Amino acid sequence: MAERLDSDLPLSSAALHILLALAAEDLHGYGIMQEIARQSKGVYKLGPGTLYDNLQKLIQGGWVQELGPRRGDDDPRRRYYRLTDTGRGVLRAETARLTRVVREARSRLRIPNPRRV
Amino acid sequence: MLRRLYRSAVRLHPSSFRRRFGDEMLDIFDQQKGRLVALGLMLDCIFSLLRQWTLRPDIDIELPAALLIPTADHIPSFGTLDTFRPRASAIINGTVLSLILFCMTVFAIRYSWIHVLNLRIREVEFVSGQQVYPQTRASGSAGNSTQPIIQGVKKSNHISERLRVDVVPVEPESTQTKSIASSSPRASAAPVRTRGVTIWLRLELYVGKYISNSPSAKISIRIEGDHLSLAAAGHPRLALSPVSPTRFVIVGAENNYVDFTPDGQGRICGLSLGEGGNVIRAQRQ
Repeated sequence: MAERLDSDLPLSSAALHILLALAAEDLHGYGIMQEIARQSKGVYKLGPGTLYDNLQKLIQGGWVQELGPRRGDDDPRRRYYRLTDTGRGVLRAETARLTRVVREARSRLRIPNPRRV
Repeated sequence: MLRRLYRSAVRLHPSSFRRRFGDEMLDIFDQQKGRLVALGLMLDCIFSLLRQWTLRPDIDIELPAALLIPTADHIPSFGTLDTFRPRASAIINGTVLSLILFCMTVFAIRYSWIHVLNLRIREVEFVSGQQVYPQTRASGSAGNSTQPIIQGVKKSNHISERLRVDVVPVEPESTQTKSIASSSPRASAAPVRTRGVTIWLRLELYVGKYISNSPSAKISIRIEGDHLSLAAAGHPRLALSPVSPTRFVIVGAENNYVDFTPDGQGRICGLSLGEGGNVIRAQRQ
């Protein structure tokens, strides 16, 4: 299982941000875009075309599940998406990989580790 | 206006993508405010369109059963073209084959001995070595002051060899014109513009009968008004227009031409008639 996850890494920036946005709660497409903008402090902005292209791939890979419209929502056109267990595993694996990269970079560049509060 | 364009661009996406995400894309477009943002979304949609048709031809996710709209009486609607998407490899193969076919067609048109379209593509040759300039004689020598004097022209069948002759006048235009007028009452002259200057030609120098042995043909060149004309047996008389001292094109059929061949003294001793890729060479009688 771990080997299969590793073969999917590294993730593209768009896929990583989408998985990260869905990690906390189920969101619709516009909500994912807003969450990504918030997480990256407005640096990384995803257009709908790129978002749904990546969502299509993530759904096909079984990392994201489509839930359909939610009752009581303002706009019935909105469909919600949820991170699956596989997707969560991929996100964990990618986070671990990035952590190793950051650690290696800090070591090479002699950047001190941030102090733990 | 932009929303209409955006909706059209969304509709151009592959059907499975459009059915699944089209409404949401329009919803997101409606949420945005500002013309610049809308333009950015439009651009994103165009990129998405290209990406979906070129890079994602194999992805076809079925909608969950709950979201599908059932068709009446289970009769499928006409959606063959809509759902058909060629594979990326098929598109690439098709493009390569089309390019090869196009190149072969162009090659056949250019080099085939069957000149179906009668296209004449002039060969480009960089001129190196000597350039020949006209030798002007004293204006007192009657009638010869503006005769085209060409030296160093190789006797070759290659058209571009003759085009190496580069004629540049060295005398003022007015003097040359005057000498023609005074030399003979029959003298006719035709202007040729080369490098922005005018050269006056003595048309009577080209007049005469020219005989070709293979194929057997008699070509007659004579002056009609202010220009030369050409006549061959079985053909109507054709007007000639000069493009250089040795080359004239047939008026109305600019791909056809007559190249006059001068001898060592600059007298015209023959011609080559180029017509539809064939060249007839004739000697002056």
